[in-house]
Amino acid sequence: MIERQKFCIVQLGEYSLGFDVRFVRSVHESTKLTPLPIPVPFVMGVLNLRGQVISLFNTFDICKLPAQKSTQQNERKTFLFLECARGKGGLLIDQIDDVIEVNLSELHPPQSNFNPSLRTFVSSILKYQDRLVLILDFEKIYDVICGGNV
Amino acid sequence: MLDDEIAREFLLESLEHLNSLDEALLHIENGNAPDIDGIFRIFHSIKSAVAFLELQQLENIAHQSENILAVVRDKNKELQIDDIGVFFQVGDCLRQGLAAFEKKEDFHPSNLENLLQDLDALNSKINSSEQVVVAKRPVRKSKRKPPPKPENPASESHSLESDSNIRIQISLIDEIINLIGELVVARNQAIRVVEHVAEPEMRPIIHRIDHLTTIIQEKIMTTRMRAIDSAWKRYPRMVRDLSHELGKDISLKMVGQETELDRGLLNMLQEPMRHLLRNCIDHGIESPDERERAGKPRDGTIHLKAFQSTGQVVIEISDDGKGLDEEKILSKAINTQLITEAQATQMDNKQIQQLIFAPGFSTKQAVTHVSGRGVGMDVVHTQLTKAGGQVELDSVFGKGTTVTIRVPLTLAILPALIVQTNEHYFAIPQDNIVEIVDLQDKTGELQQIGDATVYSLRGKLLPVLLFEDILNKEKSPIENGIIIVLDTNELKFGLIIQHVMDTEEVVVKPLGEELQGFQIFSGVTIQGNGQIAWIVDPTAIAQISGLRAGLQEEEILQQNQNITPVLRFHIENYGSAAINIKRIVRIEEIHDQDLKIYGTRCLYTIQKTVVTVYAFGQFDAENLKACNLIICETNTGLIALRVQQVFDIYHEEFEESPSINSLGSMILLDGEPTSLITPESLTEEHL
Repeated sequence: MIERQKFCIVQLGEYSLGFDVRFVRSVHESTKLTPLPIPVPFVMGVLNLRGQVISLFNTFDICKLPAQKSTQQNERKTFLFLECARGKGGLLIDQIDDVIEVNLSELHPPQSNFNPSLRTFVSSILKYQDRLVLILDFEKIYDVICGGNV
Repeated sequence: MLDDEIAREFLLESLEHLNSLDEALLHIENGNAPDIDGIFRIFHSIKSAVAFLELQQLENIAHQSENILAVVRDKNKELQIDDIGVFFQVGDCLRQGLAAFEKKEDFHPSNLENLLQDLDALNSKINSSEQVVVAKRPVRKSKRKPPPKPENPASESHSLESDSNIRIQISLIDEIINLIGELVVARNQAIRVVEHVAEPEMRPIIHRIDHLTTIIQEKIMTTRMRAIDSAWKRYPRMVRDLSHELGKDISLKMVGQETELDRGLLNMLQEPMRHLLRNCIDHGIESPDERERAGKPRDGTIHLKAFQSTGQVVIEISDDGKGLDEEKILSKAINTQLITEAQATQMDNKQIQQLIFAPGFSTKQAVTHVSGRGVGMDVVHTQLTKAGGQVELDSVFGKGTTVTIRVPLTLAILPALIVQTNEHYFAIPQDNIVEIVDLQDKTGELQQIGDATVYSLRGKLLPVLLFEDILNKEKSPIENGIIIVLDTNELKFGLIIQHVMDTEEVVVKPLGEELQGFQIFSGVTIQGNGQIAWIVDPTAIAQISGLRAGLQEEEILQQNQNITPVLRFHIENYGSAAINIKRIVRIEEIHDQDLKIYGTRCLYTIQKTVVTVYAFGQFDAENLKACNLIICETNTGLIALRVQQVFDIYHEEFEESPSINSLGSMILLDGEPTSLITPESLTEEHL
């Protein structure tokens, strides 16, 4: 039997990013974002999501990507909500593309000359249609966010 | 493979038995008549349990212990105090073994062989001893098999228990509590909506839901409550072991074990409590010789006391040891550059004693394994503060030390005042709020002393902080706002915020790890309107802003003067009146609809307490209006007085003229004749 894994593919700027669906909880569009009274690195604000207070993370800052004009001007923001053992939060994305199931053999390790700021989170690279999808590890992203507070 | 569920039952049961074993053994050691039968039964039950769990080694030692006890019991041999020690060790070994089993680890205790040898030695000693007092029963030769009888009492009582009790996973209860938290939020939202929508038939339904939700919430919270005894019952053993090790004689006296506390808090208290007890044993209580020289009894005493007081649980740990040596603390603090010599000269005893809570402070010369790694009291302090508690220290050199811990009854739900600053909402715990002062037109009373701002509140100087500054980490001039006077038990200060919104019972949600950098917020909550509010931690604000107790000397001076501050207000159908401010608990702005009339009595519910409302004149059912309730304290409880307008607090000397009615005397305030009412007179007078 070939081992298969499901990924949620999202668009962020010029990048296609993928997340293991086991960490993905939901996708929400939101206009009502509660700002933080004291700024915290990477956290754009919090949201009342069905009685839970969830932090929203600025994916551009975390991945050190240049912010895209289109998302910054848009009032409505889309967030992909993820949860790992250590914590949870919503990652700012442009839009959700697809949920796909692939064979593990289709995943490639990131090349050694890969963008170093992204390399920390990229667990593997997947060829999807004619694009390259960076598979991100939410646990590592969350570690970096929490590390930013120390 | 064993059924996990059943194995767990056996495990829990054995651990309970081990706790009673400790109790029974200590009982003997304290010179009481031994309950050999009881101890035998305990070992027997444990033996059956570990046999079921297939723990051969543990079964062996439990079996050996049981044998010895059987001999002691049946041959009426006497058990020497010195012999008790080995049973303590057996208990420990069993406990470790079971803990290892729980974690599914292998258990290879190094001392098992020794323990078996000790048991063997004891066995032969008992068998050969001639301390047969009276042979009441015929001596039976071999006691390999225990008699079936003692098995029953234990299991009978057990089955009785299981009829009315069930074991529930804590995680399930926590989940229910979370869901009820959501229900409370939804209820608050519903109440808000109903206030604005005039659907008469909806109101009673919502009120009923409101009422029921409150009851469910209270009930479910009680399931989280546990008697403090569940943690304390380990202490006698711990005190015994440590004091023996240090060659001290210490007895532990406990009062109020039945006091109930939230389970989570109880867990959080474990570590600090153990630390404090160790401190008493190691640092506090002197060696017997030292004590004798100081004219004290040779054995020291540690008192543990727990009780509830105003929504808090108070725990006192006091010893009759040597107390804190202020000079030693000072020299140590100066040596470690915690304070400068100049600072040292200005500190009073209380402040010096507080130094031991500073990080890295420990005066014990050598590091012992009991205590004294230099991380002692500051850890206690931080852990308790995290649990929303406070710790106070009171020590008299040569006489002893008392540490008082205060923790809230529960962590999950908090009565709070919602305030607004900039576009953010904040929830301030009601427990910390003393009063609220509107700065309007009174900014002149703010004074700068160095870079500190103080406000003269009824003649006392109160340090004030602009909340905006704390948020923005900068300093800006204070233009206007509202001072929330906060009391952290250690000190009082004012926090200037922009708007006061409402009081609400908020459900505390912990901050995610990504927001742990917020030191001044202890959590977050969702208000009835769905808005998020940050829960403010006044103690952390005081710490971050570098506030120190001390600015309050002024206050003490003021209190000595003979001025009674009074609150003046206007009562419809009566006139101007005033009440001593110290008797007033709070003022509620309400609407007549909020009052409930039962026969000739009018009632109002405030924070789950029903108070009788005293009013002058009749309620006009056609013409209901907004009014204020002044809630006062009387020696028989709280009462409320319905008034129309509240003016101000007066703190001046006044002359009392004879009274015109039974309510009290007349005074002049602002040139206005005012009736100075005592709350008691209201209850006597039929209004």
